[in-house]
Amino acid sequence: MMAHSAADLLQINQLCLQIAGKHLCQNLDLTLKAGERLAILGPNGSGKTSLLHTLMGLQKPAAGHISLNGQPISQLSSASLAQHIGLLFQSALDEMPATVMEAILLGRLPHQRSWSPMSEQDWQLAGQAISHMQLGDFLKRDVSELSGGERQRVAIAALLTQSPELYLLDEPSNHLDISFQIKTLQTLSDIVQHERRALIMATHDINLAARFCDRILLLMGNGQHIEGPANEVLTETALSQAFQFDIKKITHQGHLLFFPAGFSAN
Amino acid sequence: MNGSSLKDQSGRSLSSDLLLFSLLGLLAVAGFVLSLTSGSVSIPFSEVWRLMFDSESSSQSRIIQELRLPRALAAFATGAMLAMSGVMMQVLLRNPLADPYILGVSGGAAVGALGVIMLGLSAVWMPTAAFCGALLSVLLVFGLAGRRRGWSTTRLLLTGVVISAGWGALINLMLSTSSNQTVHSMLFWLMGDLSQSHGELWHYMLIVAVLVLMMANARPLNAMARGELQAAALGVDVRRLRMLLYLCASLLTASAVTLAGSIGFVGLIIPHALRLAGARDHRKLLPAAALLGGSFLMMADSLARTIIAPQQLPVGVLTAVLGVPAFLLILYRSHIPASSAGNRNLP
Repeated sequence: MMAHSAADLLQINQLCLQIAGKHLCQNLDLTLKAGERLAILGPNGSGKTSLLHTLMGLQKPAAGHISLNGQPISQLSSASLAQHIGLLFQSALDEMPATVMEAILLGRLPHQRSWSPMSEQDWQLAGQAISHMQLGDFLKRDVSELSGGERQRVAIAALLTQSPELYLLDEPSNHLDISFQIKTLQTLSDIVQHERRALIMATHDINLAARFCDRILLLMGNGQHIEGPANEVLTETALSQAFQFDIKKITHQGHLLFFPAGFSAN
Repeated sequence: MNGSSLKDQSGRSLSSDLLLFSLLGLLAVAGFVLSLTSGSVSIPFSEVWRLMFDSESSSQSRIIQELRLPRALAAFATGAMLAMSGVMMQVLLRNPLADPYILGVSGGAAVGALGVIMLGLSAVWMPTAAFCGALLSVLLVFGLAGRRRGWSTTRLLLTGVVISAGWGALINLMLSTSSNQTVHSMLFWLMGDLSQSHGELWHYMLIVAVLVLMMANARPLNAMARGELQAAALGVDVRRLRMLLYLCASLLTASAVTLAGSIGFVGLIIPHALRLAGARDHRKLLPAAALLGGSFLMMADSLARTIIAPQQLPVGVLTAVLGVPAFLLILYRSHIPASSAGNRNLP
């Protein structure tokens, strides 16, 4: 096992994930420090969501260890895990009706007892999240009446209200218009950097990953992976191999941009 | 938006909660008064209070103390249990059609109770037989749904519905092979009837115990209503909560059915009516459902006794007759959609 240093928020050792006998990732080693932002890229079914769910304790790994602040997550209760880690689901399944306000305040659940009243901090975090996601006019509306993008903003506001140390985002840009994609990730990115937290996002948008993340975990789809600083992993060769599609890179006004060119030779 | 202005907004909703519970309290008192004053012997309201504590046993005070008071209490308890159980089943299955009977508890109870009638045993055995039938059904569904790969909502629902259908077939078999005389009392039981009901102390204690237990889990219940995965990610022990919900809801249903037969509709419409009225936080919804369910059933039972007096109707008929229009009215006047349309509705 690797030695744990004080700044390591998350440590993953020799992690293996399997679904229905298929190896999603093998022998994954990864350490995430406070202030770091990691993007998980990879083709459909390569295990991005499974990895996030495993980190949240929602599913068990086939092998390997995950520790949070030096403590194995398998030893933490789901309640104390939720005080430190928050997960934005790929799609919000609002199964029973709830107002936007109710949905957002639910984010405080891990920090509350059943009968404790809302604290000043609870209100303040909810208020800030509502401002960030510009939901002030929606609070009384039912979540099921909202558009897909508005729902996604509600889900992100609930996560901001939860205010975890480690943000796990499963396709955060889903349904969001281009300005909210940037605003949301900028907000989260600022929180992570200023408050020494960490962020892991699974995404299909290579450009967002390049813009907002320091490090990239590229799942190749065959159980293999490449991990490292964004500028080292985000190469035309590696991406084209992972997605089995010819991906080109250009630089424009200091931004790295990736675009699909065509099917790769193999 | 800052925290204090948010807090102010929710302060306003606190006063609306107060209004809701005052209304429900008044309704419960009204139901109680109606229940004590209605019946074949007319006793004026001014007399009721005195007669309730009258130590001389006049025929009027005996009617109040031995007939109407226990019946009113039993009606309240049954209504409260059914409405609470309905709330819990709807959270457990996250299905708007879920009611206390959906997982077959009432079917098991009915087979037990009808068995007693068919065998010509004394009516004293009916509550015991009904309760045993209900418990058997709970254990059967629980055991089958939990086998091998563990629980899922779909497995639980399907197992319950199938077991329920099985009981239904047995009930039909019993009805079709019984004499006309017994069929009449069987039908009364099946429709739900409070004329033989006598609440025991443990019925009331059960209501309080379940209410306290569920209120202690009210916030996790709110999360569970949004979906199991979401609740788990917020730190809720979903497996434990699911088990607790199933067992408590089943126990409440079994007790209600034992008291009064399978009274329909209360467990389905009361929770929905309250949700449509905006009480979706389980810290409000559960006690509100107990109050409204209890009051509603007391009122329905008062009508059942008087509407074609001296003959009595089974109260289950009245709950539907009153419940259908009342619910439709709420449904169409409300601005909140009744179902969470994950797939959007056509206009």
